[in-house]
Amino acid sequence: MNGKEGGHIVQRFDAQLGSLKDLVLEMGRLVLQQVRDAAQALEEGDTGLARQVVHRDRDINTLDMKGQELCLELLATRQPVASDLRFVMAMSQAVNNLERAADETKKLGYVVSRVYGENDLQPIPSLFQDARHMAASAVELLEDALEAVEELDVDKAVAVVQGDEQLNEAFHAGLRRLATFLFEDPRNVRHVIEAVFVLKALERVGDHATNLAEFVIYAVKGKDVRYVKAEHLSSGFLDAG
Amino acid sequence: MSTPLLIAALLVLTAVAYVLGRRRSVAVSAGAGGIRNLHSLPSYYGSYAALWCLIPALLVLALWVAFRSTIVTELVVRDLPQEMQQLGPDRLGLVLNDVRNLTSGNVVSREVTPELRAAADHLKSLERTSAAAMAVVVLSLGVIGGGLAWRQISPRLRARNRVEAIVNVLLIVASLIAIFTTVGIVLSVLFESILFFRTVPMTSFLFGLDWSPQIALRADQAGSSGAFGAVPLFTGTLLISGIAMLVAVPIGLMAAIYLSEYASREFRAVAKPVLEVLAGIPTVVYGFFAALTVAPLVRDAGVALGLEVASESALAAGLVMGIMIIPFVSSLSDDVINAVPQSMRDASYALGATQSETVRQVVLPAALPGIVGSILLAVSRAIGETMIVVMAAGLSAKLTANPLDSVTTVTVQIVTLLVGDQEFDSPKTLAAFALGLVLFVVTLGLNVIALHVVRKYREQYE
Amino acid sequence: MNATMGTLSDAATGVAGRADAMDGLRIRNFSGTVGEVTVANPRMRTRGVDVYYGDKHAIKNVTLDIGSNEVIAMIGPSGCGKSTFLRCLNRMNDTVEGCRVTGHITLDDKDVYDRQMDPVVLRAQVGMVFQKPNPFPKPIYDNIAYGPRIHGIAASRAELDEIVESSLRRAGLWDEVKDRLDQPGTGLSGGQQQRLCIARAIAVSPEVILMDEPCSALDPIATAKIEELIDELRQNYTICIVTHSMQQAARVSQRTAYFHLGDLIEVGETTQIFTNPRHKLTEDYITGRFG
Ligand SMILES: Nc1ncnc2c1ncn2[C@@H]1O[C@H](COP(=O)(O)OP(=O)(O)O)[C@@H](O)[C@H]1O
Ligand SMILES: [Mg+2]
Repeated sequence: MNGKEGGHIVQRFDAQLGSLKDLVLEMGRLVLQQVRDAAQALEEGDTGLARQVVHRDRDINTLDMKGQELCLELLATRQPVASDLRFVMAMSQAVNNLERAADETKKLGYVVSRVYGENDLQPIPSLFQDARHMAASAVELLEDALEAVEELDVDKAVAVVQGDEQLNEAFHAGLRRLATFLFEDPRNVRHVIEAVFVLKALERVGDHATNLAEFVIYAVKGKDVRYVKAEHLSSGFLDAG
Repeated sequence: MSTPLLIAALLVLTAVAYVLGRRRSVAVSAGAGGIRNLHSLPSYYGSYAALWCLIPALLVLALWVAFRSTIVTELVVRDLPQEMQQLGPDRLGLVLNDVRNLTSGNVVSREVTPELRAAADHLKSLERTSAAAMAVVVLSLGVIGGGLAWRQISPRLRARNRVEAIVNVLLIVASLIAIFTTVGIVLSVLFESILFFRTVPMTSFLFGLDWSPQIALRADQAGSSGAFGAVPLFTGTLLISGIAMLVAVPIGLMAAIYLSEYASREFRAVAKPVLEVLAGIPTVVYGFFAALTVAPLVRDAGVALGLEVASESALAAGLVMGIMIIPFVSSLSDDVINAVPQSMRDASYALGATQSETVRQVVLPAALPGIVGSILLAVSRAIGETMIVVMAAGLSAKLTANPLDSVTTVTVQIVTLLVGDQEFDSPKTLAAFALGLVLFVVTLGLNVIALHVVRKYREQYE
Repeated sequence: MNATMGTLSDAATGVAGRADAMDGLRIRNFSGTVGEVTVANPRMRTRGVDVYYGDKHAIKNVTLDIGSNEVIAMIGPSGCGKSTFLRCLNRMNDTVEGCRVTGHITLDDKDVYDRQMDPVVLRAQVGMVFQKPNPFPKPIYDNIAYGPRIHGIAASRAELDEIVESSLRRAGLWDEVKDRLDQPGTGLSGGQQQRLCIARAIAVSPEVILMDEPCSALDPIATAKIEELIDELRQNYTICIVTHSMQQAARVSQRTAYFHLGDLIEVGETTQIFTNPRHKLTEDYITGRFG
């Protein structure tokens, strides 16, 4: 692939694969910004920023379409095989996952608009304290996943997959805390539901980042590790025939 | 200036025209932005000028040479005294001959009169003027032609197309010469034959069973009762050719199959040229081999078997002729067998055929048209062969199918008819043309069939 | 090459597991081929096959099984020895001057290069189709009947007619030529000619059909017809196909073998070879990174 020694005899093929990757990275940066902005809007109750997040989703949708078109074109005109085929498939899935991650941030934007934008609802910021940590981890996961994509680095990808475990734990811990909160005062049910949405969305962003990393592993190693337990992902396992 | 000298001068002029034309094209190209912007390469401009210099001049030269003597003679005759001009064409010719002899200082057959001397001087001066005029005209034509072409040269001039058009015409002329020569030969043979058929009816020539052209020489009975039945000649030819083919076809074909399918590359590299040497031996050598070695051998063998064998037999001649044409069959057949694509053999082997099955069922059928062609070519070679028959088969025109008898062939009779000094328009001489015509028709027919057969089946495996 | 072989020696898999099945055959140390060179139900087996053209070592220590009723594709750059290997399987190399084959090749456990084995019989069992369609310049009928006649397969004209018809049917050509069996096979279109050649090979009811780039002279539609035919023929025959088209190998075969400079580099399930080849050379070749 591009970056590796020994490119294709047809250099235009390399160029197309490179531009596919560039598109994924570009999309990844946009999604990353969405996550950051959504988290900030939530933190600061900034409904304007939240609206921006919702609005910018369109740009990402455009990139999604472009990315799928590029993949289709590569399949139709180059008939890639082996690592090229895996790379194209992985990038197609990556685009798909990034778009869905972006959808999650849009949901965050709606929550912020609802919680802070409607006058009849008194916001309870303390409910979102777990969200702050989770957003930070999600951003970090996504950053690492994008780096793994950029360098097609299996080790980084494995680290992302394993890092997602912590995010999942944080999610469950957060749910438990919200449950206690609900027991204490059932009248806050609407707030709690919004908070659950937030946690769930952030957890999904982490999942999508993980998927990205798993597709990197698939592209490089040819192994589908989506249903492999994270702790089994040693390099020994990946290299075994 | 003599004609060869003139031609040499013209060629020099042509070379000069080439160089100048080339140079001018380069010069004009400088103004138009380099050779790249010329329509054609500089050498085409050179050739263009050269051709314009050479061809018109050469044409005029040819015409001049062709008509010079007629015109000069005409002029001389006009200046002869009246009574000499009144002479008949034959005698006038004799006089003119003397005039010419006188100019070139040869012996003259009559008394040298002043008139004769005057005519000779006249002739001499006319010829001198003619030569000088010719040189001037031809050379100036060369200069004018080359010069005009040279002046035409410009970057736009489509010199390449024009030169190619001229070359095209030259090629056509060359091939026409070949064709017209053939046609000329055919026509001359044809006309002489027609003369022959005026004295001897065609039917008695083609179907007569008796050949004894000597009778026609006797006394002056003007070729009436001579026997010109050509059938014995054709049967003789057929017999000897048949024997030859019986020898040459199997041996040649099998040799070809062996060489192309079985022999190792080294053996083939040696054997094929050696076989072809057979074709290079002069036929006269075969002839005395046949007459001195094979014919006695055949006779001794025949005697040993209790057969009566003539000392000059068709068998001996046919055998040797067969050996001579082996390379025609083997070499051509070898080529066509080799031309059968290897993929045919592979296909056959891959189906489990053995080599001999492959040869018999795939290679030979595929090569058959070519083999037939080679055999037909060999047949026409056999029919045309003369020397061996003269030396080994005798001259007697017997109508027989017995290979142990002596026979004669068409070509041999042509030779015997034409050697010796009889009058040219006697039936005996003319008979040679008639025989030649029939021979020509037969071999032409065979060649046409051979070409047709080869062409018809050639594309099959391509 | 040796350097490359070194790096993959650890990846060479244990073919030794099937060594016991090769009764009577001495098995040489297996080459560094990556992947499973043996199969459970082999029709032909090659063990340590070397081929030399004079001094040129064209095939180096190749061990490979060809399974029953499978289509195995041989791919690799030009001159890597695919055709040479293929031609070992029916001893077509015997007809090549200066060609020497060593090692063991069996067909249904019979040694192909044994003195007792008649190449004529072998070639009836292992048929071959060539790169350029090469029908004989004979009528279509005689093209098909050629093999059966040579081997005396048909007892009567009626039986021969039947063989011709069924072969042409199997090759999917019957409907196109049934009205002109007496016309030369060379008059057909390229694709039809190639199917005629396949029918001709089928007519002697072989067990294995070798195809050396059978579609490289054909247009895509004719190619598709041949590929469809190969797929159908797999029911009854084992097919070994050399192809320069990676897509074709991927489309028609179940297993793929990659040759490189006379070495068998990698063998594997076709899907595995085309999604996740294990040897760098295979990867570089099929993805178009050579040079
Ligand atoms: N008849 C022959 N004589 C000598 N060398 C040959 C012959 N046939 C093939 N070779 C050599 O053997 C090697 C393998 O050839 P081949 O099997 O035809 O390759 P492929 O079919 O993979 O293109 C090539 O290097 C070729 O030059
Ligand atoms: Mg080949």
